[in-house]
Amino acid sequence: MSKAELAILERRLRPIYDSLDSQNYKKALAECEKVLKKHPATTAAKSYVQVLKALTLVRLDKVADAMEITDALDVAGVHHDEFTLQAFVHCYRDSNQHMKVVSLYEKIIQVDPSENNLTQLFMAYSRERMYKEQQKIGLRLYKDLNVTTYYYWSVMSLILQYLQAKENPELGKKMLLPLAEKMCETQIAKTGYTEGASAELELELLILEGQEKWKECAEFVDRGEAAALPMAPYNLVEKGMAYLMKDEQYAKASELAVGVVENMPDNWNIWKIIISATLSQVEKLVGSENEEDIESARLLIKALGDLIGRIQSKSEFKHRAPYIVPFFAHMKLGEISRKIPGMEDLTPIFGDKVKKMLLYVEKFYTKPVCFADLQLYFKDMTDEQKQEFLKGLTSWMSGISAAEQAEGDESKVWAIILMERCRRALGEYDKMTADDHRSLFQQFIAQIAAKGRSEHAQGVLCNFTTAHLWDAYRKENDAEKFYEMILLLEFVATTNRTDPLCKLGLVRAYSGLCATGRISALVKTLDIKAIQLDTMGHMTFPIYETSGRFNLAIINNTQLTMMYEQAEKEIQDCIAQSYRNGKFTAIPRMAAASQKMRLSAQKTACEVMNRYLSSLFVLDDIDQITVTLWGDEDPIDWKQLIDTRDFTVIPYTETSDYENLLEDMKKRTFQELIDISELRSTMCRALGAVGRVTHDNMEPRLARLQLKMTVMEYKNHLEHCCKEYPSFLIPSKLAQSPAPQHLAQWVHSGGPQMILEYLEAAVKLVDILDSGEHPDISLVGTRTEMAKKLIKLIEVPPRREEGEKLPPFWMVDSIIKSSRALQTIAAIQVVLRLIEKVVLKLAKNVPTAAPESLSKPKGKKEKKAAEEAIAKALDECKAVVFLEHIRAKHVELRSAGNFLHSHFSQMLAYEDKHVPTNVGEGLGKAQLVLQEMSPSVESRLQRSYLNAFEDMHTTIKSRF
Amino acid sequence: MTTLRPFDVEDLFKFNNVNLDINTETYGFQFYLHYMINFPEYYQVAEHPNGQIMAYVMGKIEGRDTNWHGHVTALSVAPDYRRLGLAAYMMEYLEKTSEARKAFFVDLFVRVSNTVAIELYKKLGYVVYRQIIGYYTGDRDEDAYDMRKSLSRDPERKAMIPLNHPVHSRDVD
Repeated sequence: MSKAELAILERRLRPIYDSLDSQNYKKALAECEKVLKKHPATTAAKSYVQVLKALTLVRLDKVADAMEITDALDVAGVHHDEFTLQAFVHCYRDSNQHMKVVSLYEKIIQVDPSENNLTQLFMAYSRERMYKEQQKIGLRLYKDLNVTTYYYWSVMSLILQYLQAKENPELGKKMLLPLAEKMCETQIAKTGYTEGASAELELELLILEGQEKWKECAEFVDRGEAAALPMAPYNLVEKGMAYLMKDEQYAKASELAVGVVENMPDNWNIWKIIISATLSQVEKLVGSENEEDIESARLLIKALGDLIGRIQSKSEFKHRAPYIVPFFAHMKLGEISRKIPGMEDLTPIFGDKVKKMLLYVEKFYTKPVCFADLQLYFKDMTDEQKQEFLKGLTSWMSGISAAEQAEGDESKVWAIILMERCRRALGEYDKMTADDHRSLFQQFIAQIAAKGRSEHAQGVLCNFTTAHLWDAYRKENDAEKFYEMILLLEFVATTNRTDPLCKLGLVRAYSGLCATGRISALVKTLDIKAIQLDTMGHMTFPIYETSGRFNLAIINNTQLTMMYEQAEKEIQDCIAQSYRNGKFTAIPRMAAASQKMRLSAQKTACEVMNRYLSSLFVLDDIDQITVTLWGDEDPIDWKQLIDTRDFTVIPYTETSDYENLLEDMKKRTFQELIDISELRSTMCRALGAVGRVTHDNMEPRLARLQLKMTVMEYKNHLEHCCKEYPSFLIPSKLAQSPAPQHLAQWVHSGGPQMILEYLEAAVKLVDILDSGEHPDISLVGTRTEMAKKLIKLIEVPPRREEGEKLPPFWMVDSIIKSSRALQTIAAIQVVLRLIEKVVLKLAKNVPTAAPESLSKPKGKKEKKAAEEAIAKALDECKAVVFLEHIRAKHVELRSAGNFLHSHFSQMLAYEDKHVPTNVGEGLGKAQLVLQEMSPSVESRLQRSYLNAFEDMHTTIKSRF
Repeated sequence: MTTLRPFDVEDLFKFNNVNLDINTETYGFQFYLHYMINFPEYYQVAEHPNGQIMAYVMGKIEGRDTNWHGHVTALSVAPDYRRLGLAAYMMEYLEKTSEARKAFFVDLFVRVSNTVAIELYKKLGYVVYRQIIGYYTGDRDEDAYDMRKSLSRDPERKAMIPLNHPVHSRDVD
């Protein structure tokens, strides 16, 4: 195209670009149509405009229409310019059809094997982890263009193939890596190392690492040219030591590390190398029966003790590592299989553990990190040592308390924090009486509210105090303490600008209370965005859905889904950049991160929930609902999904058994996230399959097979969930737990079972209609049966005996039940609409009215014919009656919706308090602090409940 | 008691304890990965023995001639790991890296309201070179100070002579 032609094209297409940029897709579509109609002769740009139209349709969620256009254009043997290709890529990426990008460029290089197209194909392969194919393209690029960079792309592809070949790593090590090594050697011999770049070096090191040639790795980083590797000289030295350790050259590694630690006494990595190297040598030596070897082992330990002593005396408490390392050495020595004869007691070498710990406390207690440093070694202490340490702490604390404190000096409060953290972590809190706990709580509030308290200390104190209250809630289901915790967190959150933990704690607490309004505000204040949406998405994920705020749920899920798409795109761009710049080291890790984004369980959960909620509550057109329910991607491989949730943000200070609880919680909640998403997904697929039976473009046998299979899958998974999540199962209640999914409540509500009944009826219906018969109303049960089940489903108000008051937060359960009931009603509505469509589509000659009465037959033949005609007419009439029956069922659903709404009004009129009334009893002045917060917290909760009911009412009005 | 190591992609999945700080910005993947690929020696993470990220520094080397300098893009310490001198330690590390790369000076931008950080940088030998109007945009629009410290290649400390007038963010290269 000439420059003038390009300028004209640009002018004509500008309105399309502008509309797409401003996300005005309807206008973009109109502009595309306008150009195609007005300038049909612009052949050069015709395909381009059509693909732009397809892109617009994708953005309008009309993927099927878009694909009709692209399928017609994206065919073998056709040349496309770069603009059109880019538009194709956007279409495919936006509709999650990444493999089509691969096939697009595979076709295009047949007609236009330009450098750009081959490079694009290489990157498309890279995205799909098709490393064998990308290796060939790398070589082809090198052969065609004689550019060394492309040769190295091919070498990198071999390394990636090896890393990918998990099933047969040995084969990869023997075949792929030697080939990569050979290729590298040949090329370096031919062209040498590229000046000022590190591409060859990075590849060589990656190959050596893959082959586990640790000795060669260590020698490699020692070479002068290794300085060009993309890392700081300091990192290079450490890397060298790590290789020596892997090569079991412990003495050498230790010697080097000892040399470094003299100048870097706080470097924990170096200390770890020294300890590991020493212990590895000791373990080997004590395995021998030879006394000389055992003596050598003793000498090594003594040398370690001497080194620590020497560094400590030089450091004089300016650094922490030399004072922590004896605990580490002690712990690690305890882990080796055989004790060193004559050295069972290590006190003479490393000193008395308890005394050393108390000294550490004395020297570093003003640092918030002091507890984290010591906590790692608590599990290594005997009960006696724990008691001795606690005793020492108490006596130290009395000294601190008695000392004078300058204004603004917060040493005392940090001492209190440290001591209480230690007491709690060592199990002392479990021994305290309820009164003691209460008194401690009172003291903490006084410390938190003390005048001039720094925001940091206040935040840490608040976090510690609330952990303590959360525990009471977890163990005893104590709603009052739970509410006191919320009040305290709110008190700090309103005044403390910098502490994020109190806000996070509130999000966590409110996630179990359907307090959607306050959660939204807190999340906004915390400015959670980008990758944080993934790692912390678990704190808010299902709350809008469980609160019946479906539009908000869709908005939040969409935001999250967009983050994943953007993240994956950005990582891929960075991988492409790495190839271009010859920065190979980072590629495998980035490829893994890209995969994590693609396989994030949180991402899948959001996508599935959006498909489900949009079909039930947003879309009207039944065909569009069918397409959305079915989805445009392959069935999800649930076992492949990855847990990316970060549970480390809310700190904990519990005894060591809490680690097990956390681990158990992670596993259980992850499984629950997968199971609830799979339940939604299988339900969507089964519902979608009913609709697909009526689609003209579906192969009839395949549609029927899919229907049977998907309904079976839904049934099986529902049964699995009912079994795995018994109704008495309490959702995970750790402070670090994600927002509750309430899967047990859902699967035992009767709702999913009702949906299953209609799905199974749909399967039978298709069989009946296919055999030329018409269905009977008994296929879907009577209206009374349906009404009975619906009444049970919408029985959401809390039950109580006359005169009995409802417990605090009584509304929460009702909101969750209402939301899930509404989802069931909407799903049944969809399946009934689909059933109607199936009847109308598959039933032959369905009359619109009952047959007219026939004249009296004469003779046997006529009589038989008349009987047959009556039977046929009656059968056809059955279809009419069936359809009428289905329509009547819609009326039942509407009634259920209206009843549900009347329950909302009824519950909002209850005068029962939403929050505990006896707040802060026995806390003296601290009670006032908490009570002052209560009215605003209660009113926020009420507002959230009102919003939930208003949203659900709007849904009822608009959908039923 | 710190382990300084190069930033790893996996850190993105566990740096919330650092990034929830109100003065720490969270960016898209590309931003972090760009630094990781191109300036790995300037992108270091301090890790506690318990595996938590204590802090990270993110920087680069850029400019031409006497403007060839190290730049601190982000420096953030998690609240629980403050008052350990980590920020100073990481700044020293970045300065050493820049010295090795023969830079003339190191510079950084800081919110004018972030007095704690400004004081720290002053203590480390940095001066306010200029004020940049409208540098920070978003929820909290704010000016920035461009602070600088000369390295041994700039013995006369020419890079640290302050400008006597503020500049607009659009005029900053």
